Amino acid sequence: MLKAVGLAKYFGGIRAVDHVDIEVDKGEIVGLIGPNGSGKTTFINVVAGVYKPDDGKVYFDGDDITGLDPWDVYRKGLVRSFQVPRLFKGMLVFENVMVAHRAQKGENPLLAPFRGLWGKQEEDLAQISLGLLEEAQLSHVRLNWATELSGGQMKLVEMSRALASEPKMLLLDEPAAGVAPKLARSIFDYIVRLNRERGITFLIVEHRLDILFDYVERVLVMSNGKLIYDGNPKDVYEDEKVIEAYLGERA
Amino acid sequence: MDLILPVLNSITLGSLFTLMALGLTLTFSVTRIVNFAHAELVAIGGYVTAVVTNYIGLSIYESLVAAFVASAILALAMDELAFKPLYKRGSPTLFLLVASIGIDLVVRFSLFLTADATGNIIIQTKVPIQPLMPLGKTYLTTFQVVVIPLTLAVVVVLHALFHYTKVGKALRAMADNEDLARVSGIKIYTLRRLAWMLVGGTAGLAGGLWSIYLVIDPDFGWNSLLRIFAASILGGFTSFWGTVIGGYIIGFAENLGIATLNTWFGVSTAYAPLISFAIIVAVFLIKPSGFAGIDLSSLLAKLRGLHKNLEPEAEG
Amino acid sequence: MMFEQLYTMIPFITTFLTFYAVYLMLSLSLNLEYGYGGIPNFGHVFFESIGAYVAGNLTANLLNWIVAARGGICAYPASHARMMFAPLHPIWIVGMFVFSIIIAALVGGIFGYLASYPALRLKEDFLAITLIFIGEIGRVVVRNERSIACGLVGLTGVPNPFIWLRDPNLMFIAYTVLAILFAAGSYMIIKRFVNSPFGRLLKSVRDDDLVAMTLGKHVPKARAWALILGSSVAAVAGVIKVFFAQGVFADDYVPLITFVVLSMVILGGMANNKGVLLGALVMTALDFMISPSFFTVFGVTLQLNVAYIKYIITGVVIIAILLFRPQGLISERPVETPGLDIAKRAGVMKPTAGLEIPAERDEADS
Repeated sequence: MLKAVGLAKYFGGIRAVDHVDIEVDKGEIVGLIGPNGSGKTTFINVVAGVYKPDDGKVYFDGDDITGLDPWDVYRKGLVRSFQVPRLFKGMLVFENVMVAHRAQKGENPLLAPFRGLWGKQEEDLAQISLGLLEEAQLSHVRLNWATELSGGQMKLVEMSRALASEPKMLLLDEPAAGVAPKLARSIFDYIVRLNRERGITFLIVEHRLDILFDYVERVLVMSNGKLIYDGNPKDVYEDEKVIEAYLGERA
Repeated sequence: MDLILPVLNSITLGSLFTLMALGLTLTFSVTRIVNFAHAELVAIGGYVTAVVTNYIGLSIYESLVAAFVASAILALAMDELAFKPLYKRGSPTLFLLVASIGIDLVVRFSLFLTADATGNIIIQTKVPIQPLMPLGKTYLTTFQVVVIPLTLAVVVVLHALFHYTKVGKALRAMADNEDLARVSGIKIYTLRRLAWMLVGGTAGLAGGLWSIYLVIDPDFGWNSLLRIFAASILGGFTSFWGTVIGGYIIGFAENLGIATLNTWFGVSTAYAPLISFAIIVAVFLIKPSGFAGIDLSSLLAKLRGLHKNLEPEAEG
Repeated sequence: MMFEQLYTMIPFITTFLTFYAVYLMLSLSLNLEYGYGGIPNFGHVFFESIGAYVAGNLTANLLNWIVAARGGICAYPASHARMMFAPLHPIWIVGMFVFSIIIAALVGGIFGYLASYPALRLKEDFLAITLIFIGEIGRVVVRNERSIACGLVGLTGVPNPFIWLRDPNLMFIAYTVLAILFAAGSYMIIKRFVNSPFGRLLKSVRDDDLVAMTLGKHVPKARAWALILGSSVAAVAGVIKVFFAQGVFADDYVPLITFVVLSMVILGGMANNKGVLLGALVMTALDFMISPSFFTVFGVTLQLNVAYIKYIITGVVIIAILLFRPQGLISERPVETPGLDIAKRAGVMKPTAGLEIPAERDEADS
């Protein structure tokens, strides 16, 4: 599904992502962990087209997506979320979800003034959005401004928003950061369900390993921009390189 | 053509532009505010100097001190009444820019109102500029002898303040990272006040000197703003020495530059502002960090074609 | 008696309403760019002036050609000949007006598109600096380039499209109605544009362009379109002003105009067109009440130059609103689409399957 080959990104002299090879198969839920500054978020940014890679290739669903603009990466069905919830602050919760739908006719400024041309599609999309919000138990706040939500709710809106785009694969940057443990588990249950029912592939960056490891079968570890582990979450604590990377951070 | 006069004029104007722009650079580097009201700090300085000299009869040096103080107070008031409350509320930087436009309107037209009511729409500080010594076909004047060293002195003092005193180091720390400066126990609001007073003071001084050199009206600050911005932006908006280089570049471009274009290509001298504007756009689009962003050693290395051998530093 | 008084006030009322119409078009279009799109186009006056120069220059040149006037568009005899020709040929002058509107809207749109080049590459405050100075630079060029609008002197002899009505009062009333129709039309069009998925797209780009990109929004295209539409409307506003003043003067187009328009948008409420209607009305009324001619209507002659006070108040309004009511008089509303209606109608649905959310889910633990 997603394949990065020798992917590299430098900032000045710093090698934030240093020739990383990662492959995620269709239908998998894979965790991506590593100490702070190990290059996980940069990796996601490069894959999603926010940064242009300095070296290497990214393939998605068989297509070469290296260096595509973010909106083109999205079009392929690869969608990302953000570590700190980044909702559109001047919009309602409902609008935040609505905005993410793909191929909206009314977004074309030449069609926008003519409601007849996009009204029907808009109504259908509204129904889908409402369904998503209901699934995330956000129906009651759908007409609230995005700024009026709690941190946990914002995380959920981000998920719903990402889902509205009908992704083939989601890159989630810490979906459980800053939420209560119980809700964190609910979010992961939801992820598993989406994976099973809709066949969405997930690559999840997460710091809360205790929760993450209960839900993923495979975990990738990055350190200093390099991939140092790829395998079963159970064995990760035994791996010397991983231990060194995490201990090194603490020292 | 005789080059001495235009060169001398370019240096004089360059000094004045530098002095005007230093405060803008300081404002942006410490507070991240793009302050359009900076023009009025200059204008008030000019008017205070002229009025104190012409009407109260104090010496020019006393008048310049008065201009320094008046503009410093005005700068402080701007911050206390508008910028700081907005900043504390976490307003976006663009709001601060818009607020500075509002402040500019209030001060500029208050100045207009007062100047008009008292019959001083046009004024010049009455201090005779005397020739000191002949220089080719022209003369070096008392004005130039004061302005050029004074500008450099202000730059040196600011540089020393920022690099060798505790206060200056704290200011730089604040410019780099305010949150860090805050937790490390720096009194950021005291520093902020000091910075604004320096901003206002230097701008007022520049305006005062300008009012000796040329006739001013309440719009002269605003009309100089394009050059002030161009000078500061050439310095990457954050570098004193970059601003100095920028100021003199603008001084030369708008004098010698436009004069040359006029002689050779018949370009009207009225187009002088276009040069500053072109500089602003070019810097923004090509190198937003201006002169501050040019790393001399890497530049030299590039010139020697060595850059390929430079290994990127392996960092964590 | 009453009627007579009203009659003498016709020039005043028509001027006020026409100015309101022009300011309304300017502030609505700035609101589209800045309020909805987040693009600080503080060089708005430049795009207005584009329309003004297009209208003035085009009309003067074409009429000159028709009347075979000599000495170019700036010569007094030519200007006079145009003003003599127009009342006799309503079709020509109305045609020129319509033609000017179309061309100005197109040229304004093209300049808006050009402005999107820096708009995509600069940080927003640097963009604001560039655009503010574009406003000033445009004036410097036109002042010195006689062929555009006769330099310092300005271009005169651009006849009002209703000049054939002969009676000046009638002419002004007719033109005012036309100006109001244009303003109302702009309001309706912009309203339709923003109350659509396109409006939602603009707001998303404004609020967080990076997220918008990763949600598939072609951000450069969205910004370019906001600037094209906004500049186009601004240029049309410029045309309206020119045919009212029957001339173009470069010094009328200073950054100060943008700031006044900006104060209208901020006062009314960003991203709220109804708010802008109100903001523009308040500021235009202020503009008129603080003017010597207003006081002379009531038989008062002022010693002070009150024009200054107008701008002082404009500045105070900007600062005060930012400090005390940043959302403006009327705060931002959601984008009205059929989808929103559905969301409003839907009751709170019963939780079905899905997330099992703990009761105390609002606690963040970081």
